[in-house]
Parts: sequence; C-alpha cells; structure tokens
Amino acid sequence: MFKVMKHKILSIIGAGLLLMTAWSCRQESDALMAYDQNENLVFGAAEKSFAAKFEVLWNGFNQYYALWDYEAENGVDWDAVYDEYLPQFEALDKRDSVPDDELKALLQKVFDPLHDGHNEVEVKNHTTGNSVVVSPGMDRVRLRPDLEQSLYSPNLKYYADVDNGEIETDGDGNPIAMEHTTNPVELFNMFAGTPQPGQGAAWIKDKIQELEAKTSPTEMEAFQLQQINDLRDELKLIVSQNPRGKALVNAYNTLVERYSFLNIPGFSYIDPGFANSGINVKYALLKGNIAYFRLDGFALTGYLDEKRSQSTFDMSNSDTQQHVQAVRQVWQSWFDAVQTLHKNGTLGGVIIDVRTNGGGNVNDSKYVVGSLVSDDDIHFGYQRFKRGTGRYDYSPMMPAYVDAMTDPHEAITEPIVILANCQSVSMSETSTLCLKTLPNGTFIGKRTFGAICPLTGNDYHSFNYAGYIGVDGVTPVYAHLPSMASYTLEKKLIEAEGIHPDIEVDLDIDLFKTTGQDTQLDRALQFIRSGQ
Amino acid sequence: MFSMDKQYLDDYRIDGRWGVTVGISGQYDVNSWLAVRADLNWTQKNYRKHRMVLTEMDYKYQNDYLQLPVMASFSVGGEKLRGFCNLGAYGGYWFHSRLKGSDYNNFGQYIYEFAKNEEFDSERDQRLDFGFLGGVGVEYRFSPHWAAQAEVRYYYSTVSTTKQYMRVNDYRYNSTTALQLAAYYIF
Repeated sequence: MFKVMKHKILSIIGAGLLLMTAWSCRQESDALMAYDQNENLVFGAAEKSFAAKFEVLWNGFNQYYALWDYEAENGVDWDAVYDEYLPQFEALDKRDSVPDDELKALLQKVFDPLHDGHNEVEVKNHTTGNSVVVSPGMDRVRLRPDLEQSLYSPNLKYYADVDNGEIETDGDGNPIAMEHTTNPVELFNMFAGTPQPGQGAAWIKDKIQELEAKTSPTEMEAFQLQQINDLRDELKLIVSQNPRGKALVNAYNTLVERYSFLNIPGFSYIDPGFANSGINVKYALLKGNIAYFRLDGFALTGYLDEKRSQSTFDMSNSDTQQHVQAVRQVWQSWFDAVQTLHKNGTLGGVIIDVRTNGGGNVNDSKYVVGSLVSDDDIHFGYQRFKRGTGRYDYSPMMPAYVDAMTDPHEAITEPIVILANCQSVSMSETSTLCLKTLPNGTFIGKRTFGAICPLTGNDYHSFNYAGYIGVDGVTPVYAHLPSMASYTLEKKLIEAEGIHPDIEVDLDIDLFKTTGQDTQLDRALQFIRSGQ
Repeated sequence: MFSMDKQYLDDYRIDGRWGVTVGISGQYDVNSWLAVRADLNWTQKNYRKHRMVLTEMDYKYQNDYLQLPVMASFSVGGEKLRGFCNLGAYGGYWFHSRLKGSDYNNFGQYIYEFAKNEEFDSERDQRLDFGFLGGVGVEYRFSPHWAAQAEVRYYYSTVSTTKQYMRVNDYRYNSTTALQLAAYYIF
C-alpha cells in the first residue's frame, strides 16, 4: 500500500516537474521602441552615429510601414536590407567626414526599392551639418521618359485667344476664362520677376532711372533712391537663394514690412497661409460649352469653406481677402457654368485638369469630382490600416470613400474627362480613381505618379500607431510614411505603378512652347466633342 | 487567453473569450490509479483585441483547432466517485479563423463593422500547435459500464501562433482553459 502510494506521489511529482519546465519553453519577444516622438533614449545615439540612424529608420519602417506584404510580393527582403546595409553605415562611423552625396546615395539604395510613392526620409549628416532627403517616389519619376512633359504647367493662353476659335465668349465678345494664383513663388515672381508695367520690378527699374537722372536730387529723393536700390539688391538675393514655401514668404514679407513706405504698386503682403495652401486655379468655357477647371494643388477647402478660411489665412488683411475671394470666384464660375448649362441641357462636357498637381487636402473632393456626382460618398477603392508592430499586422480591408458635395446640385451625365500625367500625385490620383468609377468618366493623359496610399497628420499617429518616424526638423532622422495601404476597386495595389490612362496622349512639348497649343487638352476636347 | 508583447501599444487590451470544445476520448487503465488517455477534439481558442482609447477598434477572433492531447491520468477515490489529475502534452492544427468586430477608418472618418473568415498567411501564421496540458476533475461511475466526468483542463501552448518571419522576434501564444463534461463507456 505504501509502495503504491509512493509510486503515485512520485509519478505525479515527476509529471508536475515536467510541466513546470514547459513554462520555460515560451520565448520573449524583442523589446521595441516607439519612434514618433523626440525621445533621447530613442534618438540620442543617432545624433552622432550613421549606424544608429540606420537602426532607427530600419526599425521604424519595420513597425510602421503599411505595405510589407506588397513589398515581399515585389521582391523586397527587408531583413536582407538590414544585413547588407548596416555594415555600410557602420563603416561611415569610422570616418571623420562623409559627403552629403555619398550619404544620400547609400540611403537611396536602402529606400528606393520601396514602392510607396509618398514616403520621404530625411537624415541629418552630423559630419557636415546638412540634411539629406531621399524620396523614392521622386527618384522613380525622374527616370520616366515622360517627365519632361510634366515640367510645363498648363496654361490657357492659346485657348483664351478668341481668334483660335476654342473659347466661348460672353455677350461683349470677351473670352469666358479666368484664373488666379496664391502660389507664393508665382506671387513673388509677379512682383520681382516678370516686368508688369507700372508694378513691381518694372516700377523699381523705372523709378531708379528717374531718380538717377536728377542732377540735384533732394535729400528725400537721395534717400528714396538708396532705399529702392537696397530693396532691389535684397530681392536679387532672394532670387539667388531660391527659397520655397514658408522661407520665401517670410523673406518677402520682411521686405514688405521694411520698405512699405516706398508705396511700390503691387508690393503686397503674402499671407503665410499661402506657403502651404497656395493654389493656382483656372476656369475656361471652351467651345461646345465644355467647362474646363484646372488646379495645381488640392487646397480649395481653405478658400471655399468660410470657417477654414478664417483658420488658415489672416482674413483681416485686405490683400489676403482679395486673393481668397478671387480663388472662390474662379471655382464658383466653373461650378455655376457646369450646373446651369447641365440644367439647360447645353453642357458639352467637363474637363478637370490635375496635371502636375502634387495632391493635398482630401476634403477638396467635394469641390472637384464630388461636385459632379450625387451627394452619395464616392466609393473609389479599399484601404487597410497598420494595426500592430508586426510587419503583417493589418486591419481588415475597408471601403475607401471620399466626400461628395452635399450642397444642392445635380449629378452630371455629360462626358467628364480628367487630365493627369506623371506628376499627378496622391489626391490627383484619388480623384482620377473616383472619376473612373463613373460611367461617363474618362482619364486622358499619361500614367500617374503612383502615390495613392495616403499620408495622415501626426495627430493621427496614435490612431494607427504608425505614420511618422521622428519629428521634422528636430530629430536626427525623420520619415513620413503611410499607415494605410490604398487599393483600387478591384482590390489591387498600384503603388509606384500609378493609374494607366484610358486614352494615352503625349504633350507635344515643341508645339506647346512655340504656340501654347496643348495636345493633351486637344485630345480631351476631341473625345468630348466626338465621343472617340 | 492570447498573450503577446503589446510593446508601446499602450491602449491595446487582450481578453479571453468563451468558445466550444467537443471531442472523443479513449483511456487505458494501467492500474487502479494510473491510466493513459488520448483525446481528439475541436477546441476554439478565442480572444478579443480592443483598445481603451480608440474604442471603435474591437476585434473578436474565433480560432478553431483540431487537437490530439495525450496524457497520464492519475486518479484517487472510491468505486463510484473518483478524483483525477491529467498531465500531458498535445499537438494541434489551426484549421479555421474568423474575425468579427469593428474598426475606425481615420481617412474616411467612419466606423467599419465586419465579420469574415480570415485567410491564413503562410509566411506569418503558424498553424501547427504544440504544448502541455494539465487538468483536474471528478468521475462518477453510475453503472458498471458508464461513467460521467467533469474536468477543468488548461492547455499551455509552447508554439507561437506567428512564425518568426522577421529578424525582430515577436512571439504570440495561446493559453486555453476548457471546462469539459464527458460520458464514458467502460469496456
């Protein structure tokens, strides 16, 4: 009995010990960092080490990038990238100085194989003090043979000339065409570049000549001449430095403030909001009542939504008010023409021109393609979000929608053409996908850029625990990458590939340069007028 | 219960969910207190992954496994009523997965509800399972050839549900508590 009991107990203890060892069979996951905030623990080593910069970027992409399954299908082995390139970054750490070009070339080898069209990586070269930026999407488009066509901005000069017979006219015989720009570079060039008589650079030049011609200038005239010369030199300096965005606006507005007493015509303040939300819009009613609308970026919401205007721009400034009103007027004229002609049964068609349009605010959809359809949201594809730290941690695929206009309007049944090219990016491509869902929608032009997976602001990083590595301008590395994958209605990812046109047409550059005639616009007009 | 390192995903929560276990069992009595037993069962290893801040994200997983537990059964007690303790190991196969719940699309700013069968990813998903088990229960023999058992059994998986497809190690494990009721025919 005792023996039996002893055997029982020993057997149970033995089995129990075996089970306890089972607890040690589970392994610990690696500890991971979050890379979206400026934490010294995370970025400290990367201040002075190229290898540490690479580790941050590699791990950040590993955790946040939303397209790893697509990359694997396309032959990208991210683990092999680590094994191959970490030693090369470690080798840079053994040198006192690394040229920016060399660092950029190495970063391009790492990131250019990735297919996302939006992502951009910025690395501070601590040996030179400069920042190096790598943009795989831009590197890809630079290799395209049709890139040169996209370097010419659409203009209506040829079509707005009544003698060319392409434009409708009003009761006074004037062409129905208008445009306006709040693009800071264009506003600056209008003042300091193109010599508009009686304004800006032309006025400065004439005034200097006038004052220099005086044989006995007064003290005030001498002072005025000195100040105008100083202003001209400072404008030349800005031109030579070629700043963009906020830097240009700040530099220019500093001069406006300093030299306002000279009362130079056209020397107006540029609203700082235009640095990010500047836009060039054009409207023309082309022959056959074809309503053409062009925008070079999706920033309309800031102009067309009163609340957004108040928060985006300094609407207490009269110059800003005039600019905002002018943009509103161009869009409204196009929208009213489309609606009125459609209701009368005389609308020939609509052309939306998003060539060389870098994208922007998704909310603009309601003012562009969304203003041509019923008030149901436009289902243009599918989206899938990053949902964890594993490369393949994703949400289910969800329908992707953009807003249609909810203000009263009629859906357009006449032919609608969207013009796009290799520098039609992001929201331009989403608009193209939206248009292709319509039975009367046609895409004419060249294959688009291939950046359809959208970016979101850093305030959404905690929604998806993905989207940003570092803080722009603060951390030694920074990257803005997609936290969601965006698919077509056929559930296909076309990142880096772009959207293929229904009708492919090249821009005849020589013809455009010499006459202003636009072969892509011509093909759109031919399609609308003939149906072919 | 599903366990994984949530890392810095501070508002993620993982909770166990109820499921079903159904199967057949065979036991060979070595002697009066020791037996060898094997089951073949369908066991669900369900869990819920949700967030405390972005509450719209609420994933409910149903994972169906076919399992073959083999164990030593130690029993003590009288003719009619006996207590027992099972200790052993099991092998399993993850044959089906279903996900239902909701998520938030911050691009379109809407809540998306879904219920779908999950497709397995051969690179990511480890469909073979292995682990250890332990259980305690009581058996009531109400006739010479019939008995009923009630058991609480714990399955401890030692194989991660994700393959190590990245150089970064990421292990995720199932631990399952099953409440079983069985009827036995005694030969």
